[in-house]
Amino acid sequence: MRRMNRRTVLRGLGAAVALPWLEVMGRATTGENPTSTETANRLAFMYIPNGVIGSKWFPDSAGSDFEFGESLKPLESLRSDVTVISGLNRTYLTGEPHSQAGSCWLTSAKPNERVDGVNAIDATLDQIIAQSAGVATPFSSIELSCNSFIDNVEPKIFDSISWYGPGYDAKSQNDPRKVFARLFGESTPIKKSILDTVLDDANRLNRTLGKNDRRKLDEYLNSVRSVENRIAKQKASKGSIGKIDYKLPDQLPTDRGEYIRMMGDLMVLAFQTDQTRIATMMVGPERWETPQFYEGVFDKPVSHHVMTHDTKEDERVAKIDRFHVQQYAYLVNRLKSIQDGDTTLLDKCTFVLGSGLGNGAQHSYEQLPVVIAGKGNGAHSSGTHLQAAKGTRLANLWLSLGNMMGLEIDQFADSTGTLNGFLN
Amino acid sequence: MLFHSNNKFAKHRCLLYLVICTLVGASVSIRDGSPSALASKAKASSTIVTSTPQTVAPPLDEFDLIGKPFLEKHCLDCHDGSDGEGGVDLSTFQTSKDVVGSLSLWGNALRQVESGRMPPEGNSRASAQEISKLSDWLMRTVENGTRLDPGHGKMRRLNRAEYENTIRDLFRLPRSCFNNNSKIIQTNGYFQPATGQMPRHVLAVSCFWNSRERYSDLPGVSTLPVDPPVEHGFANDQSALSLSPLLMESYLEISNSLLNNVEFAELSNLWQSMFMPVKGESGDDSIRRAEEQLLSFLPRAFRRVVSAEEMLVYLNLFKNEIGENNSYSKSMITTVSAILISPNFLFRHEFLTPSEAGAVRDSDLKNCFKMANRLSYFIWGSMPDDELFQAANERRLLTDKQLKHQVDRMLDDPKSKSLATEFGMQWLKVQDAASVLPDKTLFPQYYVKSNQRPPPAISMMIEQLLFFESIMVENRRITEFVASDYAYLNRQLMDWYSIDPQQVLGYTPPVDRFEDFFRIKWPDGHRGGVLSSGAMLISTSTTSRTSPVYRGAWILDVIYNSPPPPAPADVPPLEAASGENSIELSIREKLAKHRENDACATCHNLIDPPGFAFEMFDAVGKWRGSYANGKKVDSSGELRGEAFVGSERFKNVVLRDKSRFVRAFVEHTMKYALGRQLHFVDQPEIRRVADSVTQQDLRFRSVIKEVVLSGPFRKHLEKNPGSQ
Repeated sequence: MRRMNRRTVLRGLGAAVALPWLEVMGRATTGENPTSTETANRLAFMYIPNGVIGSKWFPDSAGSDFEFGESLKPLESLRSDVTVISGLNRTYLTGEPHSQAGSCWLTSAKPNERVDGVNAIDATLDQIIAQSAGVATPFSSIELSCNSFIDNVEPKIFDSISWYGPGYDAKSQNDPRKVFARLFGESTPIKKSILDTVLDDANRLNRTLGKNDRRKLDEYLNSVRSVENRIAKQKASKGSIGKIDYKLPDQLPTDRGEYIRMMGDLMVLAFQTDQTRIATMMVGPERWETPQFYEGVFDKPVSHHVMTHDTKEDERVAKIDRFHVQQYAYLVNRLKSIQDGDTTLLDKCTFVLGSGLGNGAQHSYEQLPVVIAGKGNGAHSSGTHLQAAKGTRLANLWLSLGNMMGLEIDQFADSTGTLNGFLN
Repeated sequence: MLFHSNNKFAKHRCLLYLVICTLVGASVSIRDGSPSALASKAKASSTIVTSTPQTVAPPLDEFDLIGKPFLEKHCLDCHDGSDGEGGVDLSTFQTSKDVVGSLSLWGNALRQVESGRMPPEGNSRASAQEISKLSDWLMRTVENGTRLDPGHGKMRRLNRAEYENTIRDLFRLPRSCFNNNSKIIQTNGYFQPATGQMPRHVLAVSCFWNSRERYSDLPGVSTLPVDPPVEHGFANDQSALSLSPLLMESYLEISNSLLNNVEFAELSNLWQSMFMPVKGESGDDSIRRAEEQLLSFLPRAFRRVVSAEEMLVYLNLFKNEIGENNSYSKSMITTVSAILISPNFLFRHEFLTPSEAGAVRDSDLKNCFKMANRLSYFIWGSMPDDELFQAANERRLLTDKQLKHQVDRMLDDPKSKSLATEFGMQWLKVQDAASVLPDKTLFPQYYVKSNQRPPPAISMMIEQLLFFESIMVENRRITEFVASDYAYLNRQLMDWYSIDPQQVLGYTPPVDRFEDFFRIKWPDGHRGGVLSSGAMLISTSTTSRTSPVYRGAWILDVIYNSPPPPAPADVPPLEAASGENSIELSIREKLAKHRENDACATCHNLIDPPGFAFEMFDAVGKWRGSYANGKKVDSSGELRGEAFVGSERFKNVVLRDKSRFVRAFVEHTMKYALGRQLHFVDQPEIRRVADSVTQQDLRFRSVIKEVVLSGPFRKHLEKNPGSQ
């Protein structure tokens, strides 16, 4: 009987399994003790679609003495915990402005590369970091979305900020109950022998494939490995977490705020229990026009995207911006309320809020809104308004975050260097 | 001891033979079949690949005769040099060969010219004759000058619908064990295409109403996450279907919960023979039975010829399970759950068998299995059935006649409903209507008793589905999609559209019978066809008012497969989004003003007028003679020089030049059939298909048949995928 040992198979697959970002990005450092929660930093991205009204968002003066714009007011009590960054730009590629706004927000591709043929979509910062930081936890990263639309009208480039590689999106979860079940519930019992068998089968298949098809099979292998990792790590971590007391609703909330807070709570829980250290969360997809209820803001459902197209609606759009900041502030407070060793969980976090567009009416890629909460384990600034020099690229911030999280790289996408004044 | 029979297996392992996909209960045993016996079967003689015609070098480059004069007369005024308009420089082209080198640019240029977008108004417009001369020349150039062959879509995973249907057919279930709202309705008993007639009364239970949740037919069995749609494409497009870890978890969860589900065991016609333990069966007997079962199951699961080596992978899993003292049933469940997450099951692929295990050398046989899969996923959205496998096995999927026979047979099968629920509904963007939320103060009637009845938009989605299905089942002319004199409505929609049930039906059904849809004849020509359907009208409106721009864009996309490009990024805001009143009229004025700007006019001259044709229908799909402020609705416009007033006349204008619509419909169908975007090199075949369809009285089935017979659908049959 000939039966391949699984390890042999995996070794045999080595070349095929190497996913694009490993080649592109060079090796991530493993650090001294990457598994220690004591020193580990968490990184999260919360994404707002369709840009913001800048005049109500950005503070006038730089430094620690700034005054919050109207939309950022909900962060007033968290002043010492946040860094407001202004003046960051991206390069806009001729084409549909919304599709690249989110999908290329965190991209590692240079704008002129257009890796997927249309947009510069490649592995995103969160996924590249997850490959190094994430291995210690059951989930190398989690991808959440507050897209509650029951129609399904927009392609994935409008609905994904997290990508494993060109054309390969990290599918997000939008049902809080399913997120909870995945993180803390009883996972499906999966026999190791089943995974061994299909890997054996996949290996056989792999040898017969052309280049394009092999990339598709890489997606498959990547997914099987991720499941394997999760099973092993989750088993180990189950005992230490204990029972999670979190009340989930029977029905999905219709109130936007409740929805976003619930999803965010789960992200906080995942950080708190060290299920993952990397998370992305989309407040909503780009361009999607289905109207929604913003309870407490408007008495009728409105379409965020449609409103951003009309400058007469600026006042009302700013109210949505402020509403989103409120939810963000709630989550920052949640992180702050959790004690972690000598400090709070927030201090061991870098929690980014931003949008891929500056202004929605003009679809501008300039003056992008960015707020960062937390202290990154003392790695970066807080309590200040950082005014970047004119023309500074958003990728400079991503490079700083990448370095902070242990990536030994000198450049990220079209970065020209790290962001001045951000890292301590 | 338990592995005793393995020797027997090993003996055969090196042989170059294959387990051929088999038929119900009559599996070709691995001991009886021999490759020579299979290979010796008569080979069909016809060819499959539609090759490009032989090039006979023309004495003179036609570029000088046709291309160059056209460019000089109509294009080069603007598209000249590196600073040409829109970054397009057409001055560099000197020969037909140059043209072949920039096919996508020329494909786009032809589309611009044929759609009337270019040259812009006011410039030297090309005559119809000039345009057809240009396009004929380009078709010749493409066919003669290029060997590019994008062929059928590449390897991709099954999408949600395909996965669900394949599970249904693989386990021989009488119905799907999954349910999701992309199907729109749960009932399907009415759909009997072999009769050639849709019933006049249809019981249509909505998948949306009563439950906002996605539900499953089997308790404890979850559904797959919904696949992302593709802009100007279908949910089976190779570019959209990636496999994330999250999805892998779903696959694992489903295969586990499904195979351990009691109801599933009762439903499946395979269960008894495949999973049930036999009393007193010895270990060896179990293994023998498992082997026999897998011999017929694995080729069906992988939908192709399976090598002995592959067979061994899964048989060994079973043996190990049995060897660890698991019961027969449990071991089989483990084995089959592995098969269900194998890449060979989850992906649609064109290769047949790993090469080193002994590739099938018989290219006819290979081609027939590929064709069986292409046909079944196109028409059924599912795996081939026994008859298709048998036809493939006997090399009966090669000639036009054989393929036509299969298409007819397959369209007669109720499984062809997939063409309506997937292709049809995605083509018509019906899902867009699922979550419309008209303004409560402007349209209070939309919300009357909203907890006791489905929102009208849900009934409108069903209306659209039943209409599509009737064209399909009754093999009607595809032009009826544009204009038709009948529809399927429930009482709710009759009231909504101000249709008197007494008049169209002869009696009045009770108000609360939402699930009863009746075939009615429209009393006039305003409605009828997909253009003035409720689902289209309501999903192209904002919460407060109609949007001629959205409606126009919908028409360009769906009817002409010529979606307008996205507006420039710095487009100034055009429309105010508040209440009705005077706004409606000022939209027309605003749009007119907008079109004074050349940059906007190029697209909006084409987008806006069709949108205006439907202004007599308000934002929730009701008829209106005047706006809320009392002003009369103006639904006049002009399409390619022909003036119209209102939806009925507009539809006539569309049909007077029906070749555009026919070609667009063929393009949509082709995109779905191939699972990829179309390229300019596909155009000659698309035009050929459109011509054949026109010659066949524009019947629905002729579209399906001609697409199946077309080059792109059959291409790539010979090519070794390993050498791409």
